[in-house]
Amino acid sequence: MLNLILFIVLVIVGVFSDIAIFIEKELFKAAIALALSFLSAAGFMFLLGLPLIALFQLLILVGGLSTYLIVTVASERKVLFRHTNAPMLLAVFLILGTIMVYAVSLGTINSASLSANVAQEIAVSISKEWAIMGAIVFMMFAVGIGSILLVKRSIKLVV
Amino acid sequence: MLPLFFFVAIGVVFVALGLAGAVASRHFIVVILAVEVIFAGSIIALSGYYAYSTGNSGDFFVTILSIWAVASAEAIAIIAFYICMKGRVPDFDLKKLTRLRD
Repeated sequence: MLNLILFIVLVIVGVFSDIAIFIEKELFKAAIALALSFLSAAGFMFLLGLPLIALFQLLILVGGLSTYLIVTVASERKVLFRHTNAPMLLAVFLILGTIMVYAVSLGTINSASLSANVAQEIAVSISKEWAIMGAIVFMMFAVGIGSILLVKRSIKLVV
Repeated sequence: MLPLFFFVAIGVVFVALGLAGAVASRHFIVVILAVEVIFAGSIIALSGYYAYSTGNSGDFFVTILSIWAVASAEAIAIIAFYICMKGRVPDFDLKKLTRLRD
């Protein structure tokens, strides 16, 4: 019962903070709302029985990343134009949410098959693709290092 | 323990909200924040599937570390872009930023 109450509280905090990111005029408050969203995600991990992952989520995303974002946009003034189209946000959310909920609940993964077997199959499939993913990550890293070197070289040529 | 569907559903809600925000917003930084929300939703769904699985696969940790790394790299990129462009553009309206190439 306590878990259900905590889950409902986390859902309310997470969803409202997500909405606040898009309707808030001040970027500072939007960044704080993002930190609250990450906090609720850490709470969900704690509810799932993964306290170590929740702790890392708090350290990396809430403590590190959100702090950087908040400090960066702290000096920004209010956004003067209407940056988010609220009716479009609602419409796209409803369409995408319906499609994804249908895919999760009524498609290949129905409520009866949301079991350990499905999760095990997903874990195995991730394992097969991991080599390709690792190669892509390595290539992106190499491209990043190469682009930094190219930029430094071009700066030297200009100077 | 709560049913797995609860966690998958909230992950879906987060991802759908993030995608909708990325589509409906015109501000550059808000779009990036929306992508961070998508990452948060995907992490919730992934953690749910892992918590309900029976295997002890290390792929979960590798995948979640990758997601965190990409999210952090994206935040660093947005901070660098913000510091670089602050003062050069009046606001971060995507419609105006597309004219920078001219």
